[in-house]
Amino acid sequence: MNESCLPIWTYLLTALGALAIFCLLPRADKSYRSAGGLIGIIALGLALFLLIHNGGIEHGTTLCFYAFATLAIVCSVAVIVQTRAVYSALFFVMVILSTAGMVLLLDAEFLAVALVIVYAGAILVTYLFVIMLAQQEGLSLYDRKSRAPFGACLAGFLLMAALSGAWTPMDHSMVPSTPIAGETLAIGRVVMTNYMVVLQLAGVLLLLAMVGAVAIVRKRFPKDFDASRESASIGEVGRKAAPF
Amino acid sequence: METQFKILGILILMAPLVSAILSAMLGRPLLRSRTHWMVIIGVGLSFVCSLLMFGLLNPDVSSPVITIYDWIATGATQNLQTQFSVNFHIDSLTTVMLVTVTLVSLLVIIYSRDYMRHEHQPDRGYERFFAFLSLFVFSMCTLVLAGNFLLLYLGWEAVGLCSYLLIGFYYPKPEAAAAAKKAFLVNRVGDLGFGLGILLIYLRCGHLDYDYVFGPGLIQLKGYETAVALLLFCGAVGKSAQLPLHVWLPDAMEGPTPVSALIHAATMVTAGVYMVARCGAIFARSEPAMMVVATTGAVTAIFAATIALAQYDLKRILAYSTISQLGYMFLGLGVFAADAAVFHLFTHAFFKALLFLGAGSVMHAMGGIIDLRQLGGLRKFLPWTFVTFVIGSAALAGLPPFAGFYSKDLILVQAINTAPVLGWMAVATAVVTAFYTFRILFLAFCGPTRVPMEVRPHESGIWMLIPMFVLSLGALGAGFLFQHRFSEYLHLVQERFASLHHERFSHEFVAVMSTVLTALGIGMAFIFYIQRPNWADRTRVLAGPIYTLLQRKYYVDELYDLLFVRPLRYLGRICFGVDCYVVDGMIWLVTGIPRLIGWTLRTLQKGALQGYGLTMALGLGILLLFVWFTQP
Amino acid sequence: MNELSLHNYILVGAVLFGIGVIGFLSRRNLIIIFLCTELMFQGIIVNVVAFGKYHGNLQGQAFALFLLVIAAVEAGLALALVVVLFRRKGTLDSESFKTLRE
Repeated sequence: MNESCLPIWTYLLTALGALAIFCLLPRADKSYRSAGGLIGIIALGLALFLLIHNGGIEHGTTLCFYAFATLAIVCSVAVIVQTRAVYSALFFVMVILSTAGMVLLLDAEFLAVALVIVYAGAILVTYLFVIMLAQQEGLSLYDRKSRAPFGACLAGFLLMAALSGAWTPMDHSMVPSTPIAGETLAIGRVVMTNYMVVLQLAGVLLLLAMVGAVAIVRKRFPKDFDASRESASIGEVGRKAAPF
Repeated sequence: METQFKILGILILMAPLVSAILSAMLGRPLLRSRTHWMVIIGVGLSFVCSLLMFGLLNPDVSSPVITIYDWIATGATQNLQTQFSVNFHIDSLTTVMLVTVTLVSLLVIIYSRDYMRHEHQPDRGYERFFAFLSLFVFSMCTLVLAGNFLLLYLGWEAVGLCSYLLIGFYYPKPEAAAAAKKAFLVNRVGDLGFGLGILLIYLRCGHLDYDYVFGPGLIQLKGYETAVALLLFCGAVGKSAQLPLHVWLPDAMEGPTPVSALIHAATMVTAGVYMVARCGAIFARSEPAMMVVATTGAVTAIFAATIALAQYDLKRILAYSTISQLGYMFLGLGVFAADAAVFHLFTHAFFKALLFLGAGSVMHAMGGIIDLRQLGGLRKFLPWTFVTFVIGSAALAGLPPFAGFYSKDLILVQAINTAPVLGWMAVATAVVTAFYTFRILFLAFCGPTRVPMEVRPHESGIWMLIPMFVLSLGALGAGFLFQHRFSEYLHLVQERFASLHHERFSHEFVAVMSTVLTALGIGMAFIFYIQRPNWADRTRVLAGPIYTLLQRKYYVDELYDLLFVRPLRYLGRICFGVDCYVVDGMIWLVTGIPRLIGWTLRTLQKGALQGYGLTMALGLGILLLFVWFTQP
Repeated sequence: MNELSLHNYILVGAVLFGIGVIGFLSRRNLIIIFLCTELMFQGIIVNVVAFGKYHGNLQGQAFALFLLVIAAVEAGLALALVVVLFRRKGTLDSESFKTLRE
């Protein structure tokens, strides 16, 4: 990658990507999905072309990274543009898998496996359960219509540009990983020594979350409680009740 | 001597005031239906002290001025009095007024004991009524005792306030509230002139004490006597219900009947007469002012008397007769017969209070009915009331042995000799007065009974009859007993009014003539209402528009409505509109700016977290980019 | 060992994060909104691990591990809340939960 040309291209490509997402987002009235897909593919292709043109593929690792990155980005776009929550969840599994691949490329085997097990195995399954529990029949309006798509895409583009483009690293080569005997063992040691307190706190947090989740879901509200609250017009509560 | 007067003066004032305060404070929780005792004791004490003062005063000695305490001390200004004190000016006029006021008030209050009890539940304002009555007496005594114009003005306004409170006693009734308001507002018109008159006196003389103003101050007033007198007379016109400002008095009948008796006889309307008599020194120096006073009096007298001919409301007729009689008094004042005027005030207090109490007795017996067309033949049911009413009517009409005859006669003699036109108008008024007075008597007490079936008339109780008897004695004998002594006693006043005596008609001639004419009026009333009742109806038809004119009281109320009330109301509406649309609009505009900003900003506050998140993300992105790009 | 610079990973992480932000802000289904937060977590995890590698220590990975814990906690609680909200309103539309307005 040429350093001089990097920021402009980055901005241009992120803008193109944001435009693609803007077109792809579900809309009730009209659909620009094909145009959006086309723009997205062009943007991705351009990005890959630029990367390969600038850096070239010398290693299998590089190839793998590009493949994982492309997959992750495409799948994450798919997650947010799907109208059906189930497909979103499934595409999210793909994002996790490719993220795990990228993490693997960074010599973090334990984390990659943990990511797949915890995310794809546990969290996503919970999501699927909730989707089945709380899904209405057919496509509801709120699934088919996105909210403020332009503003969201603008905000996303700005953040992407700010996070990615601003980094003009002087020395961007990675330090070669020191051959620590058994990454997993090393991580375990670090976590159990340096981060002992944090680990305990994390455990407490998990416990609290479990208890909290159970408590929240068990709590039952009377049916008419909500209705009465909703029927009162704006400011009605303050008018009827004494101010102090 | 001076100390005695001081103590008596303070007692006269403080007894009603203290009893008013006590009955107002203790009335509801403690005294309740016994409140009247407090007031009777207070006003009775005041009466006794007035009598003592009357007895102690030697009219031939120059009147004492008693300073009680320094009231207001202002900074020194050139030529102006800087120290105002509460002081009493005690002379024969004062004592006569005090005795009249306190005696009539005492009797009215005793009468109210029963009247208000039947009229009113003890827990619905009984205490309030007596507290106000007592306050009324206090105000009037202040007015009479005052030794300077400032204190006079205080009493003057306090009397107005009390009349407002008492006329509006039945304030839930809209007519009563309106009548109270009307009385107060009409009085304000007069009081404006009165206040200006006092200010003019202060500007010219630099002093407000009577002693100074009526003594050395008169020289300083030179050239301004007419203006001062007319301005002061404005107040008298308002307070004593003379012609342009008489409209409040008939409406004041909305108050309880004892209040009417009090207002008409003792405490309110006589204030104007008293004030003009008191300021006689100023009035006597201005020929035009005296002319105005006399003319107003005479015109009012005949004007009100004719209105009274065509009314059916018993109390209203009496109210118009009061206006008419007050006209007599002003006529007397205007023709340099102040002693006669005050004498008439004195006798009038007796018989007018008596008539009102009699009317109250009728109302009481009839359950509130006061329309003459529904009364009749009450003689059988109310024998005592009838007797006292006959005495009162005879006195009002001016039949010889009764009180009204002597005082009216004095005024008539002086008027005919001084201003013949006005004098003859007064004589004509006497005929009309006799006619309408006996019209009431014949319609209400004689003839066939027209009482509705469901009403059972009954004689009033002893507490109501005793005051009426006492007043009857006054109406019978006051004139005869005091006819010569009064003038002598009041000679101080007389002295100030330089008499212009050139008799064309002798005293005896006028007396005989007025008696004959009065008898004529009574005879006409007898024919119209007893002998040939259909004549009255025929006359009514014959008179046609004149009758309507009289019945509508010369359309004065309508005229005022057209001239003052409506334009003022329109002005009020315009002002209200300006306030509503212009001022409020400006304020609305001022508040509109933040409201607009708030309204605009509120659209950002939709309560949706995602919206906040969007703004936050946008802001964060812009901030980050800004920071990166501006980094050196 | 390789030509892959830190920049590439940062880029991917930023893109993932940005896409998550876009989804979070524009979708109206509460479940998808929470999925988008997980998407943002992915971007951060990639970032953090890459930085750890760049500095040659294990802190990045340890941090990512705790991120995982937080993600699990968040998912559990958020989904419980989603279930409660769905029970109360019968809908998952984020627009219908606006009681914060007044």
